Amino acid sequence: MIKNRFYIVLVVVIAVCTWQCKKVYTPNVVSSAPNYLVVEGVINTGADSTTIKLSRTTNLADSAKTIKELGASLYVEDNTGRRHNLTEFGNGLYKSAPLNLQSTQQCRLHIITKDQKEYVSDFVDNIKTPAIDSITYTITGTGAQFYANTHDPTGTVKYYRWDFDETWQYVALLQSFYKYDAINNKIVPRAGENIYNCWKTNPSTQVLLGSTAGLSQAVVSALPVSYVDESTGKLAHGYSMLLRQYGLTKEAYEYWQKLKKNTEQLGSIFDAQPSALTGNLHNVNDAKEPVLGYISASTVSVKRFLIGHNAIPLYSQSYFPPPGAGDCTGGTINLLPANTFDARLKAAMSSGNFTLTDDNGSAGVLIGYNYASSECVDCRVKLLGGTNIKPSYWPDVL
Amino acid sequence: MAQGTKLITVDFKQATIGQVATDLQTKTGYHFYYDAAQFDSLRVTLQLTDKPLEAVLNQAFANTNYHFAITSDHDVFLTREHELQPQLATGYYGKGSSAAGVSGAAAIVVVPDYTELAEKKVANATTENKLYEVGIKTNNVKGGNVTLAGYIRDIKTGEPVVGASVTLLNSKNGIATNQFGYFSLSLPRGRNVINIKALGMRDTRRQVTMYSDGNLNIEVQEQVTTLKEVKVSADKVANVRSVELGATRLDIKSIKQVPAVFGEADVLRVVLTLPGVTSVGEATTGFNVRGGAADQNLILLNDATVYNPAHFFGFFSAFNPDIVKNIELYKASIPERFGGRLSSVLDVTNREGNKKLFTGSAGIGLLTSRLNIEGPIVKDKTSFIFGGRTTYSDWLLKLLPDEYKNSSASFYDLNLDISHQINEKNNLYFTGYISHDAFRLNSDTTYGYSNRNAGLKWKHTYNNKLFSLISVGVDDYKYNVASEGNEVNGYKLNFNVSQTYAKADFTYYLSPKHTLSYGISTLLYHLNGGDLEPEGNKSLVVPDMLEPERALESALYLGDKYDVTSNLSFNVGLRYSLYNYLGPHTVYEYADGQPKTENSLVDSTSYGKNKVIKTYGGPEIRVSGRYNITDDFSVKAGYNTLRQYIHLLSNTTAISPTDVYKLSDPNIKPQYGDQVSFGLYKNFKSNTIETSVEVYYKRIKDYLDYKSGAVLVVNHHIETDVLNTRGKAYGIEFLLRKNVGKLNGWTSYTYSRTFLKQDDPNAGELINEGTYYPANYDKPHNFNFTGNYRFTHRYSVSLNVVYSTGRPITLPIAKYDYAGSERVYYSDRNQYRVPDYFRSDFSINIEGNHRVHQKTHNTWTLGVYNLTGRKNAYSTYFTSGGGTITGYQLSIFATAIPFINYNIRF
Repeated sequence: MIKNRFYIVLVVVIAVCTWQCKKVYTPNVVSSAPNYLVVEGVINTGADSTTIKLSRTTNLADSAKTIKELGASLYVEDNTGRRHNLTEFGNGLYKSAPLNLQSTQQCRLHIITKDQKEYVSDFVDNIKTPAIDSITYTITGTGAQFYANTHDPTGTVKYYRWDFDETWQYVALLQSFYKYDAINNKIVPRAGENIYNCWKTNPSTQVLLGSTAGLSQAVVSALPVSYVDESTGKLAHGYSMLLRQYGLTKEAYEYWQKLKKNTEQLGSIFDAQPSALTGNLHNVNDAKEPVLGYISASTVSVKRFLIGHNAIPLYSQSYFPPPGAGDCTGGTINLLPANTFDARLKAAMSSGNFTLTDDNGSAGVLIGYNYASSECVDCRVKLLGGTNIKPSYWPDVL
Repeated sequence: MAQGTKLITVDFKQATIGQVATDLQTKTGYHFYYDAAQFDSLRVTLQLTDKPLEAVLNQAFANTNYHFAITSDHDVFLTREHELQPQLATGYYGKGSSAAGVSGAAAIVVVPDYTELAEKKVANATTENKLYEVGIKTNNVKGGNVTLAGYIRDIKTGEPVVGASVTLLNSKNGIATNQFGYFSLSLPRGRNVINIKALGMRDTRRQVTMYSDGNLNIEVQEQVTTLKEVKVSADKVANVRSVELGATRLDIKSIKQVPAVFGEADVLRVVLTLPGVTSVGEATTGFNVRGGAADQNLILLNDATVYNPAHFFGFFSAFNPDIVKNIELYKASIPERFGGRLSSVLDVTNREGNKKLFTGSAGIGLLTSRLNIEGPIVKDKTSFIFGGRTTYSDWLLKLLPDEYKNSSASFYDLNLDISHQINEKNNLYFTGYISHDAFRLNSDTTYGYSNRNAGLKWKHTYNNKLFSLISVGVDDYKYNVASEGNEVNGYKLNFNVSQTYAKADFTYYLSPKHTLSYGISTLLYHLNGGDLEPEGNKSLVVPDMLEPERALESALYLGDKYDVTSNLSFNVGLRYSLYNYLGPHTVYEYADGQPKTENSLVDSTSYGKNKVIKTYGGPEIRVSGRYNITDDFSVKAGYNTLRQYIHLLSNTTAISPTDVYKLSDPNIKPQYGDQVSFGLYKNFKSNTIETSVEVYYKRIKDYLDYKSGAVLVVNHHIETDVLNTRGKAYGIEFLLRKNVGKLNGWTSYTYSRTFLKQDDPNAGELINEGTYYPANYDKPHNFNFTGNYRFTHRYSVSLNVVYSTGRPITLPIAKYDYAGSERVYYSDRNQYRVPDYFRSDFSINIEGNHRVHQKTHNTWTLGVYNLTGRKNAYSTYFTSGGGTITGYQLSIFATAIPFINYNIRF
């Protein structure tokens, strides 16, 4: 009897405690953060422009996300010695006209920063990236898992990297038929203007790599690209992914692999330890200065994938992200008493936190106008960065 | 002896003879005479009301070899072993000497040894009093020395008693029995008294008259302290008197007292409480001895090498506590008969089966169940012991949070040991061992690994002075990893290492001053470093197999234990090891003076079968010396060199199930290490408290560390991904140990450092600019307390406290934006540390009643692992998700874990 009781107690105790756990850890280590140059980008040897992003490392504790490196001059040098300049585009971005370097075998990137330090990458092979065969998906749990598929008929490209921009359509909770004219303190119909349907685009945040090196055929099959859970709301109306595929050399692949291992694939019991990450850029005059990043050169294969919500067999309470009806504050501005209407309208709308929705009436008689918090009405407010302009590739009916 | 009409009441608890005598003297007015030194190991627990003095003394000395005599002058003489003739006492000692009494500080009256008298006395027909005559009887006994040899066995089970001390009365000369309970003692012709003392056994003695060389087997009784109430501490001078440094021996009793996670007595976890032994964390199979890597430990189970001594991600050791008899860890003075690993030898010895009757035991725990059965096959000749353990831990994994609910784990281990006595001179021993693990940690990848060992030993005694041990066997370790998640990439990876060995060890008791040991051994490695196969019909994985490797490791050794005087002894040993890397194999050659990379690969050469591709070898020196300053205080020093030809390749902190072994080849040099150590050993309180301080300095050459981003699995040219490093380690270890009494256990503190360095510019990559960096297992401060307090004979509590500095980690020192997310830039290797480690465990042991004759004995153990629930960091890591970096600290056993265990013995 005693024995049984002990077992029950223990089962309960163990059920409430986990035996492996992680918690947030903030070491107080770095007093003087190194200030190293970070170079990101791919020399696009095809018919599209090349964009290189320059920034600096920052202290871990800094809230500033990045420090952009401005005022540098950059050029791509091919193995025949020709130079292709990049022009500064602001925000640390440097862009070139399409390079069309299909015939060159190798090229490299030169950077001269504002403080006249010269950096150069190693010469890198120009990889001809095969086309993306398809983007597929499966429904896994409460979301969709997207996959990339490709193959190289020539069998020469064995290493791949992908990144993507995802765009999804979403709606505000309420529709708006009127808008507030602040200058004249008047209500006017919102004719032909859509703030209900929006589209938002996010870049990928993970390093996506694939290799066919151990396979008998150069086939990448169902490489997981992204998992989108329905609770994100991204699948509620329509979801699109613009996938870019880059062929890599073995060295580049190893660099990205290390980067991924160091910053994404840590935290299980049998993890490899973080390792030093050395890219292929150097300070011409100081070989010891670490320069972060790896420059590779390839053509870029691009494919867009688009799916409407009707095609996705998912639906649950969490399908539409908040705010829901319970989260919205709002009110009504009645026409009567007419003498205070203007003052009441101004008081309600001048803060800019509210947006007019529809009118309020009974039996064809207009009584007043309804309003609600803008995040419930204006899709551009609901998600910052969302746009109410339908992308050109988005079909009218999905 | 009709004395003591006065009735007295006594209440002694673990009282010394002084306390007893003083108390009785006060109560009776009698004077007590005794030699305090003879009684130093006597403790009396007795409670009597209104009894005469005679009855009190009778009870106090019951079942001991102490005697008393009460004279008409109200004097009481206490003696050991020899009963005083009362009539002799009358007026024998002058009144003057009795003035000393018990009140005197100095020892009272020296009671003479009655060896002569005892001979004349018609002894009680006990073995202790019997005079054995050994050898060919002669009329007059000549002078000079002869040899007495034999076995010491447990009278109840017939099991050999290992490490029993066999000494001559009144002499410091003595030896300890070897692993078979065998001893060979040199002693003068004529009358001798031999004392036999062993841990957990009742002290005994034999009286022998030696005429020439001969044999005497001695059976000793287990000390059933629970019933005797008089505990005589065994001879514990071993630590002071042995010549070895850095050697620790633990029997299973002390191992079982240490609270262990889930209540499973765990050999490896107890090893971790010893000074100089650390591990990188809780979920690791490996342990680090004095700054050595985890693969530098030779782990032997009855002489079979166990490659992976752990179950269940390293949470349990793979040794069955019901079968194990004792363990011995050598950290510094590694005997010359061992070789092949740099840091330590952990020698686990199983019990021999009961040769007299069938017994067994069973245990039920939260995660595992155990069963063992032993008994005679032919009574007193052949016995077996079988033990098995299995887990049913899947239910526990089901209770874990959802993210682990698809996990599963199972393991089992089986032991079968058979010992057979062919005749007095020949014994055979068989050892068989299998352990198997399979697990899946919430993924579509399954892991499995397995140890399999089988060995046969033949022990032959040529004569009293020489015996040999011939062993042959096979040790095998394999693992496999299979993934079926993606049908195109489904794979199965197999790894296997096996070794077939034969060795012959000889021990020759040359003279009282010299004991020689010598032998020869050879070991054939067969290693399949990785075999990748497609799993499933649709898999496109190309089968890839590393070329199997073969090598022969042979050794020749000679050692001498030389007792210069009884206070000064040396162990001098030399081992010559020779390593041949054998074909068939293809060896890559790299351009001279360039880093070994695929680009510098210039040539490859194929070698035929059994062709010697590369030979390494060299002498290994094993020297240690001991000088006794006093009987309980000694200094020791030692120097050791070792060579290791097999490497474990790992770029994880812990040993993971997918780490691979690699044999030394033309591109990968063997590891070499040497160590100098020095120690002070002092015992207190009649050797019941042992203390020691040891310092060491160690150098390691050609230890393999990995290059950044190394690929270690199925790598055809692994030499391009690893680096040779040099290491140095030093430390000081303090140990305080108490083996007897109500409170027993040990506590240790160690300060130690371990550094590695890679400064060869031709290696292709300098780690931390070629400076020394702390090794993964560099934990400077280590404190351990392991204690057991016995309230009564049925209830005891155990406490285990561990503190250590956190292990080194590589931390991010800056962040930057790259590939759509914040990333971190890492510091030099191992420049920071995880938070300090602290854990305390507590357990209560409840034993059933102690009647010796009952069908079953049962015990309960319940306790709490990690009592304070401290979330000890196993590792820290930084990961970017959703565009920002977050640091996490990963803990294993992040909470207090209660456990319960039930054991039954039959």
